[in-house]
Amino acid sequence: MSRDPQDHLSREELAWLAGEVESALHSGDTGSDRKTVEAHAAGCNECGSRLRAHRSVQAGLRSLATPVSSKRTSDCPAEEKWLNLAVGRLPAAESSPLLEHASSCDYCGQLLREASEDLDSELLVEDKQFVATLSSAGVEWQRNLAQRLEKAAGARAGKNRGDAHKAVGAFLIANRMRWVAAIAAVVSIAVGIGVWQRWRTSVTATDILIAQAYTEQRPFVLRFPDARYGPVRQQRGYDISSSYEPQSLKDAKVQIAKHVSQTPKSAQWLQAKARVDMLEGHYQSAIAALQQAQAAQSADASILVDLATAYFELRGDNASDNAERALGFLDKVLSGNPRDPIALFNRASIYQTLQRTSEARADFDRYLEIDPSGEWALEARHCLDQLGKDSNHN
Amino acid sequence: MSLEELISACAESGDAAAWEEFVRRFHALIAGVVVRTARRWGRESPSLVDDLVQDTYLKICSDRKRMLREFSPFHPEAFYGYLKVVTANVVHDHFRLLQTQKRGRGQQEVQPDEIEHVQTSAVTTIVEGIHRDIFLKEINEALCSTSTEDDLKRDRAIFWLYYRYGLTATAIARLPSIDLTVKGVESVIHRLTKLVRERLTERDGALS
Repeated sequence: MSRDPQDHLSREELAWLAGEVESALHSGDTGSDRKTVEAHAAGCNECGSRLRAHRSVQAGLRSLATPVSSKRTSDCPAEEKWLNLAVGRLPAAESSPLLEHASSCDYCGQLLREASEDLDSELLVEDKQFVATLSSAGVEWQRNLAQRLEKAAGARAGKNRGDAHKAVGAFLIANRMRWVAAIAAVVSIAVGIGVWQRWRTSVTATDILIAQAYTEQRPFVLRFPDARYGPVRQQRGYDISSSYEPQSLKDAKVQIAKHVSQTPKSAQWLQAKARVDMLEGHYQSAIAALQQAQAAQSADASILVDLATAYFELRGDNASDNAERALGFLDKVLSGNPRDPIALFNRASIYQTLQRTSEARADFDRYLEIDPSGEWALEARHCLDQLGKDSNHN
Repeated sequence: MSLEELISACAESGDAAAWEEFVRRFHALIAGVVVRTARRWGRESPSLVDDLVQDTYLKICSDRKRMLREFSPFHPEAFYGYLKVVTANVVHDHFRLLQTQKRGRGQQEVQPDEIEHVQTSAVTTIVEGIHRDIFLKEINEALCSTSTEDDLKRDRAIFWLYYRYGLTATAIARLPSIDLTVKGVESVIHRLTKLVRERLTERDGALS
C-alpha cells in the first residue's frame, strides 16, 4: 500500500517503530501497515530524523539497567527489608516509602532486583535439575533431618505429641495406600480440627498473643523471648491496660485466668501470667509468679530471662541490688548457653543503663555476631553508636 | 493434610513424621532459594547447598512459635513468603559470617576465588557516570510533568524499577502497594515510556 509523502508519521507510529516494549504490548493498534510506515521513515528526512531521536532515547532507556557501582548510605533501610518487600510481606503503608527509596537508590534498587530474582517461585529448568540431584532431595536424607528436628523441637513440644502424631501418621499412610485414603482424610480432618481447637487455647497460642501485645506496646527495653521487634512506646510504669489494651492482651488474659485457676502450679501458665503482669507494670506480682514457675521447672532458661526483666524493671529503693540480681540471672543463662540472643541483648541493655559501657559494648557486639540482620540488630547497632558517643563525651 | 494442619503438627508436637512431611513438601522451594542466593556469593556446590537447606530447617524449628504466627488460614501464600525470607537470610548470614571470620584473621585481600557477594557493577567512566546522571534527571523531569501526585509516585517507581533496575513487570506487580495486575504494570510502563520519549525528543528538536 502506498503512502502520500506528505503524510508524515504520527506520534503513535513513531512510538511503534521506536519502541520494543510497547510494540510487543500494543502492536497493531496504530491501524498502519508496518512496512509502509518503515518505508516512509526511510524516504522522509524529517520523519527519519524524528525516528532516530526516538530510537536514541529508547536505547538510552535500555542502557539504564546496566549495573552501576553504588554504596549504602545512612538513608538506606535494613537489607532484609528488600527480601520482605519482594515477597509481599510488608504492609502497603511501609512498602510505599521503601519503593520510593528503591526507585532512586542504585544500591537498594539492585538489592530489590536481586531479592525479586532469588525469591521467585519459578525455577529455571537447570536449577530444577540441580535441586533434584541434591542429597537433600532424597527420602533418607529428609528422614534423618526430620529426626534431628524432632530432637531439636525439645521437651515442651513432646508433651502434646499424641494426637498430632496420629494425624500425620494417617496422612503418610494415605500417601502409600490409596484404598485407605478416604478414611484417612476423614480422620485427619477430624483430628486436625481437634488439634486446631486445642492449639487456640494452648499456652503456646497464649505466649504468641502476649508476644504480639509486647510488640505492639513494648513498654520497656528488655526483650521477651519470641516477641518480634517493636519500638519502645511507653514510659516505664505506664500501665498499658489503663489506656489502650491490645486485643491480643485481652485474649491472653482470658486464657491465663482460666488455666491458672485450673492448674495453679503449671510453670508455663505462671510464666505467661508473669509476662502479662510485666506488660501491665506489676513487676512484684510477676516476680512472685516466676518464682513459683521456677520452683516447678527450675532448669528453664526463659524463666530466668523473665526473672531478670522483672527485677530490673522493678527498680524501686533497691534498684541497684535488683539490677545486680537481674544480671545474675542472665549470667546464669549465658553460662549455660553463651549464644542465647535474648539473654545477651537484655544483659547488654542493662549494662548500658548502668553505664557499664565496655561490658555493654562487648555484649552488643556478641549479639550482632549471632543476629547480624533485622530490626533487633538495628537497635543493637544504634545502642553501640550511642555507647560510642557517650564514651566520647566522657 | 492441609498446610494449616501440617504447621500446627510441627509446631505443637515436633513429631518426626510431621517434620518429614514438612521437609518433603518445602524442599524444592527452600533449596531453590538457597541455590540462587548462594550463587550471589559465588558458591553453590551441592554439599554446601545441602548444608544450608538443613540450617534453614533447623532455624525454622528453633522458632516454631513464629511459624504458627506467620501462618494465616486466610492468606496461606504468605507462609511461603516467610519461608523464602528465612531461607535467604540463613544463606546471607552464613556468607557474611565467613567474610567476617576471614577479615578477622587479617585476610584483607580479596582473592578472585574468595567468598564475596558477587557485584555485577560494570561501571563506567566518570564521564559516562555524568551523562547517566544528566539523562536520569531529564527523564525524572519528564515523568514529573504528568499524573496526579499519588499516582505519580507509584508510576514513577514502576518506571524506574523496570528501566533502571531491570525488574520484570511480573516482579513489580507482586510488590505490595503497587496494587496493579501485570497487565496494569505493563500499561504504566508503556504510557510513561511514550511520554518520556516524546518529551525528550521534543526537547532535542527544540535545541537543534
